[in-house]
Amino acid sequence: MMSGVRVVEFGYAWAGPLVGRTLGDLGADVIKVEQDNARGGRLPDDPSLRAALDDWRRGEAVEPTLRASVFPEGEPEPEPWNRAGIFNKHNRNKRGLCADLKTASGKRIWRRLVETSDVIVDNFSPRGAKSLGIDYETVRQWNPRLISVSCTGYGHTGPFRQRVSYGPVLEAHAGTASATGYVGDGPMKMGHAFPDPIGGLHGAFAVLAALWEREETGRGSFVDLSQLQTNAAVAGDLILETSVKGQAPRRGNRSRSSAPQGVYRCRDERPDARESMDMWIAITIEDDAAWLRFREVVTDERFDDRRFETLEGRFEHHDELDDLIGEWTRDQDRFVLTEQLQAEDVTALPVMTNGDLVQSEHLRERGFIVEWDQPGVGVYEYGGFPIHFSDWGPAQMRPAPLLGGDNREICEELGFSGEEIDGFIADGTLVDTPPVGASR
Amino acid sequence: MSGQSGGMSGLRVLDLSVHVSGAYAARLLATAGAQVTLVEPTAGSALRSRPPLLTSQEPTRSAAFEYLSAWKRGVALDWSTDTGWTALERLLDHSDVVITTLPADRALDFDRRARAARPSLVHVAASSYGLTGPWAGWRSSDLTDWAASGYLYITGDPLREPLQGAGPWASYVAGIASAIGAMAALHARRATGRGQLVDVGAMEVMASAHQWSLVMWSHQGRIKHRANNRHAEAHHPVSLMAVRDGWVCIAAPTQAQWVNLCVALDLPEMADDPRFATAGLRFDVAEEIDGRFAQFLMARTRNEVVEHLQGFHVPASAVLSMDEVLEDPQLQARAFWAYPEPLGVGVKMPGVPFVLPSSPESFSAAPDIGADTAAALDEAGLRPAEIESLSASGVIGLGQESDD
Repeated sequence: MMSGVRVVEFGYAWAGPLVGRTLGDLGADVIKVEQDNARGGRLPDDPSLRAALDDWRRGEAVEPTLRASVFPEGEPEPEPWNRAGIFNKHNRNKRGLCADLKTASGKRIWRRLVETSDVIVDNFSPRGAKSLGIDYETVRQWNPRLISVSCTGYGHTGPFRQRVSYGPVLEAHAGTASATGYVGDGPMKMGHAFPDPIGGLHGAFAVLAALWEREETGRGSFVDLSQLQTNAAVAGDLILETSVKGQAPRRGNRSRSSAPQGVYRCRDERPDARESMDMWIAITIEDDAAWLRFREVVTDERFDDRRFETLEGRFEHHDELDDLIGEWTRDQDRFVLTEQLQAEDVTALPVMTNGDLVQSEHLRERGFIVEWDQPGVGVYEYGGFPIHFSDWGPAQMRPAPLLGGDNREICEELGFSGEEIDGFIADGTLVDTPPVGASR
Repeated sequence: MSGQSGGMSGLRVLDLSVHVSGAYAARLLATAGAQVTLVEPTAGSALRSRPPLLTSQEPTRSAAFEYLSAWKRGVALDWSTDTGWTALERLLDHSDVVITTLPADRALDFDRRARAARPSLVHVAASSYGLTGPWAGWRSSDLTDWAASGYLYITGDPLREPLQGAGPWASYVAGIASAIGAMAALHARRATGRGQLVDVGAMEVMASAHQWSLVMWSHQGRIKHRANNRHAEAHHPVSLMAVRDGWVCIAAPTQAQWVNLCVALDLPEMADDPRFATAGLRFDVAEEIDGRFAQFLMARTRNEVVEHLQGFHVPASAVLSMDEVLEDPQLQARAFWAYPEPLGVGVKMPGVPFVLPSSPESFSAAPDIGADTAAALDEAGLRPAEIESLSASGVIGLGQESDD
């Protein structure tokens, strides 16, 4: 859909890479530019460290480094920088350029890249972008059609513009962590850095809108995207409510309009060969008609109570209903129970685990679970592209780039000769292995 | 069809949404400069009674509706009738994009009827499960959207029930993806001249918005569990921590940030302790680490801690209440707020999330029912007599015209 558009991505962590990945999934030519230590360093050639790694593989020691990397079968070697499941998942459908843009050669490469690109995406701090020479004021002089979308935590202006952040930090600042929580308890953060995909998806929209605008004006533009603002934007209704009435109390899993609503424990399962785990079903009874349908499925006569027949009554006796429902669901299979409830048009769903999502028949039939052969890693499954088009797709899945894996190809496309490229490698500008011991 | 030129402000979007997902997609397009027309039943959109409600008396006002419908024009039209459908077709003739949130079977039926005669129309259908697959016809709520997303299981206390986020954020995220889908389909139309159906399910968008849990299963066969206010299972500290007057979030996953944090908290010896050498190791002894941090943190306020840590380049923020967000100096300095005057003097809500070249410069509040019916139908080429007759038969509602 977006073929012919070249995007240069300086993505770090998750939000920036998601902008690039979304555009890459849509067919854009996305070049990810990395520094040599962007994926961590190489282990020093120290036998004691190697031994520690072996202990961990045998399960005798805790994993020493980068648990978040999610290596296939827990095995980082060889070349851990090319094997991290989380990196490869964030960075499919991109080519990789690993270059030091601050050398004289790096500056030449950068200039030609800017001249031949449509979009630059970064999630650096404003200061970081300027010091690398990738800021809009610099690059617009070389290519006035260029679109620069800068996805910072706080934005390029304002008193907190120099602050550093990650998703969970913004979740705290945007008020969403404070709004979330069990009844009567403190704030709660989400299980993942939810602000990152919110910022990254908004960033991809910003790129597409700015490109559309350019078709009319012929001019590029700069988009100062503050992830704090995109996160406040998805809480717009709650913020507006607060402005009128003050902040509503935390309500756990309850609804303001439906009762009962909750998450109820089902039969435990042993999904991953570890200890048995708690499993749950989510149920919402919207109105009196839904209650009657629900009553078709539950046979326990304790539900046969006049106090439960009206929405008001069900709100008033919510605790009691939760206990009754929880007792009823406790020994049932959450998927079987969901099928029974949905067959009667009762709103219910298993509380899906990560394993459930990957194995979901629904997602598989939708073509959402995809696989690719990642060089040096092998064939593994991943979550795919969530937007389906009637006249396009499914989105191609090309593996994530090896560190600097496309250095030569990209530089050739930029018009550099083989000799010049050899020179860039010799002077240390183009790199394809990380430095020893460097941590980002 | 317009929109082949004219940039974002040349785009015409018809918003038939009754759920947050489609409504947010349309709002996002409006904040980028598109002309968005909300079409609702003459009795009012279901979103007008969606919580949170701002008043308990009739007529109720919904914060969700007021927020999501800003910058939209309002048309009241019952398009389920034959006459109504004919009028809707005239509006569709003048639209580039139509957004729906219908159940799967009705969305597919709508798609056939709407696009058959209008090959250039882009139809974005937002839903919980998508339009195909075994769950396509299933019912959903905000809570079951959280359950389907995989986020519910991993959020909250490991010893208690899983916990939803406080808002319908799966729907919002589906809305962003719907807006992406709309723009991508428009870009494709430039080459082909043809529109298409864009099918966006919140479950998939949310599943694609996981940090590492899907690969944790596919690469290692492990289930991700809840970890309260910590960032299981790989990082510490990336967590909410108690301070004297509330909570802060401190995030120091990298080695440099960890060392800076230890120095900032006056505990430099912790930076050299091999038991705390990596973020994953630190997660396993998080209780001990938090215990050692507590003395410093509990002696200081949120603002003191955050200013201090940011001075050491350690990512940190106070956990702000929504009331405090409304007074936040950063958001204020960036002119983020919109002021919906019909809701009261000084009432605020998020405005344009990020400024694009055609973003509206002034605010336009959510429309009253039917405020722009006559204007929109007139633009679509209906004669005054036709509009009058539709009004007389009750198919359209002519509300009071808005000021703009």
